Amino acid sequence: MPCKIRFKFSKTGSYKYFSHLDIISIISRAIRRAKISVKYSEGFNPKPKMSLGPPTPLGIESHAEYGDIILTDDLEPKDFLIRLNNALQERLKIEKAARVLSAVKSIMSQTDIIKYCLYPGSCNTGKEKMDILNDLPGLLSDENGQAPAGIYRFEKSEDDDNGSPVVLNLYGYAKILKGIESKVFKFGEFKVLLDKVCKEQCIGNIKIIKEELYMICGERLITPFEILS
Amino acid sequence: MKKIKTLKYPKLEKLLCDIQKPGRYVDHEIGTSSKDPVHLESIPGSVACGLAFPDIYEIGMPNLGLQILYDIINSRSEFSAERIFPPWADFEERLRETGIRLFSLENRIFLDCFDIVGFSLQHELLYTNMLNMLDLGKIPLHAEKRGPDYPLICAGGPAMANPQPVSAFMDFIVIGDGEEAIIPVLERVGAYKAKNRGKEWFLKEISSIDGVYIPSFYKFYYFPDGRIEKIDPPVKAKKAVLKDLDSFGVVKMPIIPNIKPVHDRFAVEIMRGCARGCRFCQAGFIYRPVRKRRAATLIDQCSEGLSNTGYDEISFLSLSSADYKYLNGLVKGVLEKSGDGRLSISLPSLRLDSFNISLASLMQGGRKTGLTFAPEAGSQRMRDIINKNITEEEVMDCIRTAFSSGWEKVKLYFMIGFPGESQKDVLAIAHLVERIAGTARVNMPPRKRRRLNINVSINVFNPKPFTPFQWAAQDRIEVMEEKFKIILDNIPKRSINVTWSQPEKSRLECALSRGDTRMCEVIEEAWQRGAKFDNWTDIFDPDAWQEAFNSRDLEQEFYTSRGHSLGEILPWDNIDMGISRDFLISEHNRAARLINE
Repeated sequence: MPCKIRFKFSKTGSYKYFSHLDIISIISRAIRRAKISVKYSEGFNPKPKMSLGPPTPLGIESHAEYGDIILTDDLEPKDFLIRLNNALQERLKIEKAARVLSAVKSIMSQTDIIKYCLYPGSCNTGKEKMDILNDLPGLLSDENGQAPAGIYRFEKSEDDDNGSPVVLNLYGYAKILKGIESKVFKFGEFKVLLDKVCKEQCIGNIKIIKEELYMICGERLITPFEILS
Repeated sequence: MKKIKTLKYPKLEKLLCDIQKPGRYVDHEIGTSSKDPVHLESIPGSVACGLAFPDIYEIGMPNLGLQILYDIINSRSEFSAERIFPPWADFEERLRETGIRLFSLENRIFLDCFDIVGFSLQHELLYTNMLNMLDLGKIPLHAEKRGPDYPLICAGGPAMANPQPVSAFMDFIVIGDGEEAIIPVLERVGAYKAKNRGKEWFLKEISSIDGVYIPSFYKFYYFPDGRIEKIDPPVKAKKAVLKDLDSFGVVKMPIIPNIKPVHDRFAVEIMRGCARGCRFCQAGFIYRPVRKRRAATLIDQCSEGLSNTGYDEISFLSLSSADYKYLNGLVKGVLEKSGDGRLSISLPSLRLDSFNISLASLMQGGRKTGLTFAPEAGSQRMRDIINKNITEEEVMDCIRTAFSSGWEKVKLYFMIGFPGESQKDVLAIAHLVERIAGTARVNMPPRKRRRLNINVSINVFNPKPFTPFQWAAQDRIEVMEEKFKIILDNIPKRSINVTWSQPEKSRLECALSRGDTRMCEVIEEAWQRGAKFDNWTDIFDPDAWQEAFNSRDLEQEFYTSRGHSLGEILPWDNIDMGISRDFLISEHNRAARLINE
């Protein structure tokens, strides 16, 4: 009996340098090594029926990569996770897996928001620097106080669970939404602006990590796994 | 030898900002097996070996020779091999501005900290990249300028059939099969390091190893008109021959690239050497004798490799795959073991007289990999002269088989400029392609006919060393262009796409492959004038090369197009390739008789 599994994986270290297509090939080979049987498409050039979430900019680590895959035989998501991780290197790690109905829409089509977290670099820990960093949303806005294009929410956050101070949580629009005046958040353009401001303010490297994907559901933001329940 | 220094990862991250395809420069793919440098240095007799492939990662990684040598070296606990590829233009600029030396992939060891660096030279247009890599590693280019503080520099690969053009840069060169030479060489490198003896001691030690050629042991004398007067001493260096391919198993856990390489599959060499004797083909001659892997153990090794790597395509490499007697059995066996029916089989070197129905049906299962055939000549007269013994009937049978079995695309290789070629022969290429297209179309189901795609690649004949045609002349550029035009004007446009080699590039490749020791200065001069990545059409700089030749008072056509006399001393005459001169001359004469008929 075929089954569809949704999985979440992280892409860290040097794996941030591999493109979306490269990652698909890496996972496809790992699936074959793990002897997990995938369903293939029909036609002249059959491909494994697997689709990933929106691509991540090259050079950015991500804790929020998602994929849907159709297997030819039923497999416990727990076993899928373990077997696939055994065939993969640490820097690409399956964090979560769950069975989904085959009718579930693709993650790419459902993603409305991408969340990025900005962390201070190691040279930014002095008090003076921290104050500037706290001000970053303001510094990045233009003279009218307008945030850069494509941003849904842009705020300094509480420290995260690990105790490391997060500077900013940035929620960017992944697509143009009906009924909301939104532009798509262009990471490349934002990075250019960020680098400029950092240079002016003499702040060192700010690390950006892609942290989560969301769909807007009324007032709430829900993740690709929360959608299923 | 220096203490090993490496580039730290955070520094690499900084360097990679805004660099194209940063994945080329990062390490630790599945399958890497080099040792930790700190640990390595503590082992007595240890050797840190750099395997340098002078083209970008995506092109170098599919090279099976690289994987084979890497595997052999790393299987020894006291040796460690790491890979080095040249940076692309943007990263090279970054390295030069920051003053950071070229480094290896695995542990980011700086090039000049290796004990030995070996260059894999697949063809002559990689020579400037090789010099550029040495320069980026802050290593002196000339062997005589490198003392014990610098790595030993050597080279191997098919281009080394004639090693003279790079002789000034190399401490030594390995000619022929590298597998059995590499370990004895590295053992002596270990001794050289430990004993603090001079390089002369080391060179003398390795000179007795089969396949080792030491340029500094020879001196070339030239007549005023440029021909070679004498090579001293009159001693030949013998190429290395691996008698039994199976003495080294198939590399079952190769390095698996994380970014897409030009060939993305599990590669297995089933046979080395070729018995056909096409008169223009250097590979056919220099890789003799023919050696085959045993079929019984091969099926299991292939399956194990596919299982270890997860590739869904396997490529059986050889010069003429259908001459491997058990090919059908091998393909069948590997397909059966793979189970899921998703495995694609790639057979890159099928002769047109051997692609038969049973093979075609076996290859049906997976994704259809491209079919490539090399008729080389359009007329039977020409095919007889070059000894490529296939008839038009066989060509058409093969095309019929392919297109009635579901293939829609085929690539055809042709060559112009063979000795004795007439305009009629050139025109025959266009006509043959037209007939092939017709046969293909007729054998396809009508609704699929518009998907017919025939890619024709026209190359220029190059009289290569160690072939019966090694005394022949390459066409001059004007003649090349004339012949391309004849073909292009006479090939129908529908479904057919023609590409041809750049004449200046073909001429340069020819000059370099037939060069003598004076070519070293030309290559260095061209590199200094900015020549690199010469094989890349957009980057190739023919002016830099022409100026380089001019600066040394040399002409490319002296090497390519004057036609050498049978009595002349050739730059590769001090290499013993296992082929007798008499045999080459008799083949040459046979061709001459056919030309004059």
